[in-house]
Amino acid sequence: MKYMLLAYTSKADWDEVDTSSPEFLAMCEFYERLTTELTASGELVSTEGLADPALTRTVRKGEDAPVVSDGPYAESKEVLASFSILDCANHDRVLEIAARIVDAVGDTIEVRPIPDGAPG
Amino acid sequence: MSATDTRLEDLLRELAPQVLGALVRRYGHFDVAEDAVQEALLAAATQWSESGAPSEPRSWLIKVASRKMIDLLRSEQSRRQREETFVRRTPDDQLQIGSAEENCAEESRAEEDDSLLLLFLCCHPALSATSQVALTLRAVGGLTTPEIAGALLVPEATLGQRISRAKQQIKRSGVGFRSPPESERGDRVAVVLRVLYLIFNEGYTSSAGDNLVRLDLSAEAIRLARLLRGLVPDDGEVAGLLALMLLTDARRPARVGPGGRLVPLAEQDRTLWDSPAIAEGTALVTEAMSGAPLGPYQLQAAIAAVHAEAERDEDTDWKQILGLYELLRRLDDSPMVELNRAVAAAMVHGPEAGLALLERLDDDPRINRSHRLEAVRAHLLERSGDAAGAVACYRAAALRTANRAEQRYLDDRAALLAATGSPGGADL
Repeated sequence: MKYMLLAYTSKADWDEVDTSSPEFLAMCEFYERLTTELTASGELVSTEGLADPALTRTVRKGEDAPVVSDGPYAESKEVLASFSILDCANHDRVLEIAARIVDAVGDTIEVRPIPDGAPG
Repeated sequence: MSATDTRLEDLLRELAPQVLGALVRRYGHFDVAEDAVQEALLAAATQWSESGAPSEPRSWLIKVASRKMIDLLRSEQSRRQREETFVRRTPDDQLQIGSAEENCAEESRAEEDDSLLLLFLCCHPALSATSQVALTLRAVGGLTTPEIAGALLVPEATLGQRISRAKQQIKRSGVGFRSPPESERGDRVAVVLRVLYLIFNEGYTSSAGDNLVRLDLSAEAIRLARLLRGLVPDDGEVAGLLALMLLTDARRPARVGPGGRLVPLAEQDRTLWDSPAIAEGTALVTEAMSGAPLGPYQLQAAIAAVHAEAERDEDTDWKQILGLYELLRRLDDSPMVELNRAVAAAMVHGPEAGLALLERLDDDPRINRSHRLEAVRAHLLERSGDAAGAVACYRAAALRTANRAEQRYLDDRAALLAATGSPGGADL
């Protein structure tokens, strides 16, 4: 069963990140280990870190044609930092993984099931 | 400037369009990206001259420019009350949805093409010629605003505004950082060539002011033409333009005499001509002419090459030149071409033949107020023995030009003729 995990960082943490700090390096190492582990188990489908929110573009329907604008911006208190798609045996397993991430890294994780066609 | 400084500057100028291309390709925001790259180049110029260039200068610049871009976007965004919107209209039938293979192939070509895409962007037909020139020099040439302003003899503030407006125009017109469709590509390359030629001519002559020649812009135009040739090696007109620039610029050392005096082609000391440039230009035009169809730059380059191969002015093969002008005339109805054809006709068939062609130009409003028409007429009248007529025309021509070196030349010529009463030597 596939799930999408969306990892949110507080804006303050995102803005103030110090990529040379031991905390940041520890976080990188954690993600590296986890990625290796989930690749070996076959549960990792895809994972990516995202660029700074300032580079976001939003495309919406306009009156005559699609409209591209900058944003959304910095009013939001949380930044979508990364996403991953995991293929797990069940709901409990994916929550277990998400809890490990939250524990180690402090992000908030949204877990969305990806329907696999079968209704039940 | 020390040799190290020059090398550093060359490196930065070479990397500038690659870095800008990389940013715009990924994130869009051409206007903000361009500012960010300028800041990154300044940072590099300062830091690297102290501590040397990093081992991966391009990556360094991309990283620093990305950060600055984010900073600029954030500070812009915090100033705005609402989101700004702009509309991109891509009709469904023009949307390109390629296969995965096509998209991957496109990605790997990306780095080579970025400079070319930038050139297309900066030379987009939606922009005015002056905007195209300014933007090309900045975004592709990697020159700073003060440098460009100095070269174009325009106040810095004016040029800064010109570049800003050009970038806004690009943003508003939704021009994208992507290859023009195949059907438009020839036209778009032609616009790029025109812009480069404009830059070259800005450097080669000033239409006003004391000096006849501004060196830097011609060299810059040649550099950009070389870049373009590397990007589109099969295009005959691109080769032709580069050849034309090389052959024209090769004469530069002989073109200005003591006191900033203009030395016409016929009187130039050909030993001062840049022979390697002539050799390169001649080889290029020979190669370019082997393809079809022939374009105006190839023909102009061929004419320049015929001039260049004459060891002395009197060895010039005017018949070949006249033939080339006949061909050029069919492609380019500019009065300057006709003027030059008149000169060539005079050399082959005698001054009266040339004067007859000039009379037709008297009705052409594009040139009949130009000093050049009077200057050429003066030369031909002189050759035909009409000293009085020639003097009058030289004086009329001098009144019409704003360039002091040319004025001096024409006045001197008039004075000499008036004093001696007899025709001078060869002309132009």
